[in-house]
Amino acid sequence: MAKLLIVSDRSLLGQVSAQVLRESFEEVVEAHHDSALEVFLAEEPTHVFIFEYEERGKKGEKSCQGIQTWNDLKNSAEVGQTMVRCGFSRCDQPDYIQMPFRIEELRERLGIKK
Amino acid sequence: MKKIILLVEDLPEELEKAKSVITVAGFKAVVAGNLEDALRLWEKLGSKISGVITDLHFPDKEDFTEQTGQSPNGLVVITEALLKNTPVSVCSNIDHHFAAYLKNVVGNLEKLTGRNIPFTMDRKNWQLALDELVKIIP
Repeated sequence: MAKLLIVSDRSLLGQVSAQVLRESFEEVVEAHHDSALEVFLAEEPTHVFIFEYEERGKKGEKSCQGIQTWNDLKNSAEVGQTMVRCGFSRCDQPDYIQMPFRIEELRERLGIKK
Repeated sequence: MKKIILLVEDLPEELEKAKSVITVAGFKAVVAGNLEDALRLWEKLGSKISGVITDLHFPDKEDFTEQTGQSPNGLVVITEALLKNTPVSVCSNIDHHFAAYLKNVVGNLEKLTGRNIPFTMDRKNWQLALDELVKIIP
């Protein structure tokens, strides 16, 4: 069963993404960064989309929560769980998508057709 | 939901081996590569962590230096496990020059607390460390 976990502290981003991607997944769950690992372990999603992945936080701190969330989830992920991270910064990685993006790009990153 | 095991190991290739052993056995692995992350993840997940497998020598923080990489931070993890009443199993390398000494320290912790702390010192035998941990997970 295709299940998507969307991680974002901005509820609007999470809700809009969930709305757009709902038709591609049998289930969509949302979580804030603080609870992302717990939800990830409990829900066992097939796909994860993590917002707020930035090289630096708003106040210039070295690491912001999106990076920590991605590290925690990536380290705990099992084979077959697809993860995509997203932020405004530039990051040339195949599992990263820079904002703003087209929904087709996101679908491509997540490896889903519709 | 599968039981969660906190795995603490700083070497990526060992970490992957250990994670594979844990997941194949039907557990979920939550992974930390340094002491700071281990304690942070533990605080976040609390009693959801059923057991811990830890290396003995790993860095305090993510920024690795030769000095912090040699710190016996596994002892902090073991102590935390004892305080939290969480089963813990140690997996170290027999080649490490401090391993034998630390095994004695852990042995003394066992005597003081009356708790069983399995100590695998067989070239990072993660399967053995997990088997020993499973025996003491309620």
